[in-house]
Amino acid sequence: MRIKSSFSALLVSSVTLLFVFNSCVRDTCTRQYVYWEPVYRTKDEVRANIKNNPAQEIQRPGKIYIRGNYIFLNEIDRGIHIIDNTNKSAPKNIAFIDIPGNMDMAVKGNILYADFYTDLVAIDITNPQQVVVKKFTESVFPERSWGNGFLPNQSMVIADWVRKEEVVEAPCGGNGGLFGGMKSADVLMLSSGSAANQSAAGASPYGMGGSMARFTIVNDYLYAVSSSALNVVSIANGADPVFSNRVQIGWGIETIYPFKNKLFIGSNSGMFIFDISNPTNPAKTGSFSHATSCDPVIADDNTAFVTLRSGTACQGFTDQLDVINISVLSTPILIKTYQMTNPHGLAKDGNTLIICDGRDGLKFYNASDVRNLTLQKQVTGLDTYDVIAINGWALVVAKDGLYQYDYSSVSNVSLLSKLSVVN
Amino acid sequence: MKPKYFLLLVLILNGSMITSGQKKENVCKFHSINSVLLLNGEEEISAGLQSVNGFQKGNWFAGIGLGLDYYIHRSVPLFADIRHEFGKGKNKFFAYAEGGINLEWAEEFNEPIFFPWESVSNSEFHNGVYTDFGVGYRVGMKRPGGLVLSLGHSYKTLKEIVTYQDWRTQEWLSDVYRYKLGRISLKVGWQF
Repeated sequence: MRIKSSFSALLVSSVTLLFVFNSCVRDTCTRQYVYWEPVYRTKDEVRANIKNNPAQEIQRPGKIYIRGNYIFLNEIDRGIHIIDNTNKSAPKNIAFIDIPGNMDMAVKGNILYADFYTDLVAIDITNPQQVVVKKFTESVFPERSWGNGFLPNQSMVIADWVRKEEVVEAPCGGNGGLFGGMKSADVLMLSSGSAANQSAAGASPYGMGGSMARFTIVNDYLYAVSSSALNVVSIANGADPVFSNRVQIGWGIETIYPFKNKLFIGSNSGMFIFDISNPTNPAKTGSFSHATSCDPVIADDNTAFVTLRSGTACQGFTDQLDVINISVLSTPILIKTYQMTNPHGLAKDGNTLIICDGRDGLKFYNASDVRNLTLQKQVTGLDTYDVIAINGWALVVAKDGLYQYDYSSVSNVSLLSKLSVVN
Repeated sequence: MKPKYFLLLVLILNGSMITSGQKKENVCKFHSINSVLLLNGEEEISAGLQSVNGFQKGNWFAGIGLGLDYYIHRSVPLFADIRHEFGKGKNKFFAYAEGGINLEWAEEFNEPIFFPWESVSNSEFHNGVYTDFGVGYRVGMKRPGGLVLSLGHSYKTLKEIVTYQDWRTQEWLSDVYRYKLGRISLKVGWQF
């Protein structure tokens, strides 16, 4: 009995001390994180710097465009690398054009058109080693005045971003205890997809882009899609582009691909076909709806190939290739769906269909029978993004660099060269 | 990975019962101390369980312990325990020190975030350290049992890495959260 009461007294004392000493203990919790800080310059300063600057390392490759022996490779949000590709086995990175906010481009003749945040800049590339700015056309892309979840200083231009790391005190949780752990990253609500990684392609008599393109040129007009509009810019006088029209075509627009007098526009909800018989006033002639996802598209006379992929900004969970009959443009009909891993850009060269299947590499299909595509070759070990294919030569943008392949014999695809990305 | 902690706990408890029946006098004696914990820290009051199994020789005890610790982020401490008893007789004061690894068993997440655009993010916890030191009192009951009460300072750490995709660069970024959690621990247990 005595023991029982002394134990009880000790227990009560201990519980009391448990609370008395509580002020002596601390929880220390920190969060170490990375963020990008914008570097502002005046618009005049930035414009003056749009010229041939020394070559820079490739860090975040975006859209590609080829013209003659030169490759123009977008460095996302920063500018364009000029690569001398005279020798495909040994391409040379010769210069860099600083164009802050740049994500897309197209070339006609000797003029390269590129977006510079809200503006369009026309650059004479007659001598790629000595480019000359010809004109700035303002407010062609008004939606670029803001970023996703970020409102920049409107009086200045973001010329660069600097990576920073910081450690701060953080809440320790509080939803734990007997009910388990917590979900700590409230900050994630601010971090998500953007249109920043969507790319550019297009075909013109003078240059060629990839299927992820948001710029394309048909005859005397540059067509550029924003997230919700199709912008038409007259380039009849190449060095003097004139904004002509803006057609609202719905949200989630991602890519544009020209074929004859049609534009195939990929959105995250479907593929739209626009007739450009009247070039300044594109008219929608047909559409094909699909599950929500990102969807670059290419087409020929009777067939469109659309890759649907999941992931950030794509708002979906579908990873597949849709083959669509477009012989009647007003009513595209799905022919067949092929499952993929995470398909991005694609290209077709004769009966060879080449698909960038993300982390699954580069896939070569025999597409002579679109109802029965057969995989002929798969190149693995690279995370592919976009491809241009011409007569047995493929230029591939991947996460870790710019690759060139010779696929004149599809069963024996050989690597010609690689320009590596520097992290 | 998680169920094996339970399995380990059960094995230790079972092992202690089997072995305790084989002990002899005047040699190293096997003991198992099984306690419930009340953990009072800056953030919250929480609870835990603990089983320490080891050998006693004279006034010294050394053993291995495994527990469940629910303070803020659930974890499984695996530690060495050493304690010294003072005095003679059935009822004794003692001091103890515990140190080891704090195995993560927190609730991780991997889920899409739908606003403003979808982004898959996930968290991954990593093991930390665990310490506890304090004083207590053992009340001897019918041999070989005893009621054990102790009060001490307990400390555990964990690291959480949250990965997500940057909205602008599409780069996968990692936020590293380091949790250093101090508590006052009250343990009430039974010693076999």
